[in-house]
Amino acid sequence: MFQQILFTQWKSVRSALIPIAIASFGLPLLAVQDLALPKDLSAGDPIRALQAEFIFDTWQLWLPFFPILAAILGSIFAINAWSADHHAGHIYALALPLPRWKYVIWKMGAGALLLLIPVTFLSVGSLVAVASFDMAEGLQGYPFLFAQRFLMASLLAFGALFALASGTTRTAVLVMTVGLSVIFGGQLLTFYLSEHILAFDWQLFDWFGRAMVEWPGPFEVYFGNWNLIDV
Amino acid sequence: MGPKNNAIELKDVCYRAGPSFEIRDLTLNVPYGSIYGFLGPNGSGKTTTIRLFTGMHQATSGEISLLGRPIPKSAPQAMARTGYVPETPHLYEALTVAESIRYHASFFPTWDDEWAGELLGRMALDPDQRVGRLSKGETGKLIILQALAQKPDLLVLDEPTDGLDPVVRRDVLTAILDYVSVAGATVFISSHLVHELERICDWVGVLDQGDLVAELPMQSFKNGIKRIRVTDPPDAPGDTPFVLLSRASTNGLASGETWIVRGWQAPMTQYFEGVGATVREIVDLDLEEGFVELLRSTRPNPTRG
Repeated sequence: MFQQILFTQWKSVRSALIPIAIASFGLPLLAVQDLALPKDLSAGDPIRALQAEFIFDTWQLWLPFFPILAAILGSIFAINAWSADHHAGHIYALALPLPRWKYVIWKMGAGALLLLIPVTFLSVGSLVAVASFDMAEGLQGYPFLFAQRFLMASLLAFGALFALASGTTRTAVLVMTVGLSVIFGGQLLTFYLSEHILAFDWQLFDWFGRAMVEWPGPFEVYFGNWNLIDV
Repeated sequence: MGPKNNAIELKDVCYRAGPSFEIRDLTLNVPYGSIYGFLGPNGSGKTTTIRLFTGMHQATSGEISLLGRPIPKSAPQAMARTGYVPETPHLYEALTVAESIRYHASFFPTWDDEWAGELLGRMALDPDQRVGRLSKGETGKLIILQALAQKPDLLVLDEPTDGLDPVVRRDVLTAILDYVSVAGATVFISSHLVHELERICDWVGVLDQGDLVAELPMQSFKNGIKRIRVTDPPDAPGDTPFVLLSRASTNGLASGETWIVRGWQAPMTQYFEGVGATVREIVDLDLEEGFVELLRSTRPNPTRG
């Protein structure tokens, strides 16, 4: 059964998977293409010392692409996992002779397993990228840590959207509406309180934002250290 | 009829699908080995009833059993022996016909590969064709194939031939009847195409606005509903030995009326003699006419201004 679920997801996502796999492999290579030191540089040349700063500045330009790619990847796979079921109102899945939770777990497992394909491409791309140029002393490549972060980020997007998409459209809209209402309602309330009570200096948006993107918040993986090359 | 004799059994089932529709105290019995036609106009609750006894919807009250198992608690076990053809096609469009069959087969331990291959040939389906490129008729045939090749004890068909052309419809019904004659399976077939059910069903249930208004053997249904032309009918019919579904004056006959009755038997002509009326003609109604008259009689009359 699992094999068939895996195959079905592979067949429906493969057209999107190919460009994503190419992007996952190519992005690290593109990011490091201008980072190599001149070949005739002597060992004690002061330019070597500037390489770290140069790498850092260049990497900042490329950095946003990786978490964005991971989020797109996870989202596509999550939507793909449920799109056919949504099309027929989940009737087929509900009529199968197995508990719903089992079906959901297998579907999720199949999607997560397929995510490993672009992650593998990114790992290989990162390895090749790191090996493709001389690094000054003190600098080091972290291709596997980098790929691990990419995997975690794509799994997070996949998991969140998978959970949302596993229900009906009505449920998804309901969950989103309740969630957004609580956040915006809470923000309005805290804003009101801070305007009228002098000692009250707390904003829900600020707190919520930090709780989400700072460790141990769930979205820290998108905003943490994405350096492929570091000290 | 006890639960051991029924493949599907609903007892006092209630379910509310929304503010404007509900199923109230629905009691329905589908005997083992029967071909049960489930009739009702669009929106009467046929699909909702099917989803209730297959465990997709949860009833607010009442008891449901499918192949002797309580629903929804044992729905997976019961569904393993049930071939279900939903109203809306549910196949994965990215797969080929052969892949779709393999996918479906992987969930059913009773799947018969050899027979699936035979049905594939009989239904003239190309195994390499992508499901997304199949015509409506081919899609219908593939879904029926998948339901039959799992060798079910019960087939639940929700409008299986709706929108299919006559040739495909005949192929589909033939395949179902062939299977039933060999396997002795129970068939529950929901449709608003009354003529289709008349030919194949031996039991009939009529649902209207969430109420089961009739459930009886097809023969009784067809024989029991008559159109009777009567002259000099009484103003008030009084205690009739049959159920008077409707009465209307007959064109061209000054003192004549047409009565539609249910539960008719030949000796009942004595009733008319007793009230001073004369029976001019008794006409058998076909299932469709009977169905329409039955619905007309069970619905509340609109208030006239």
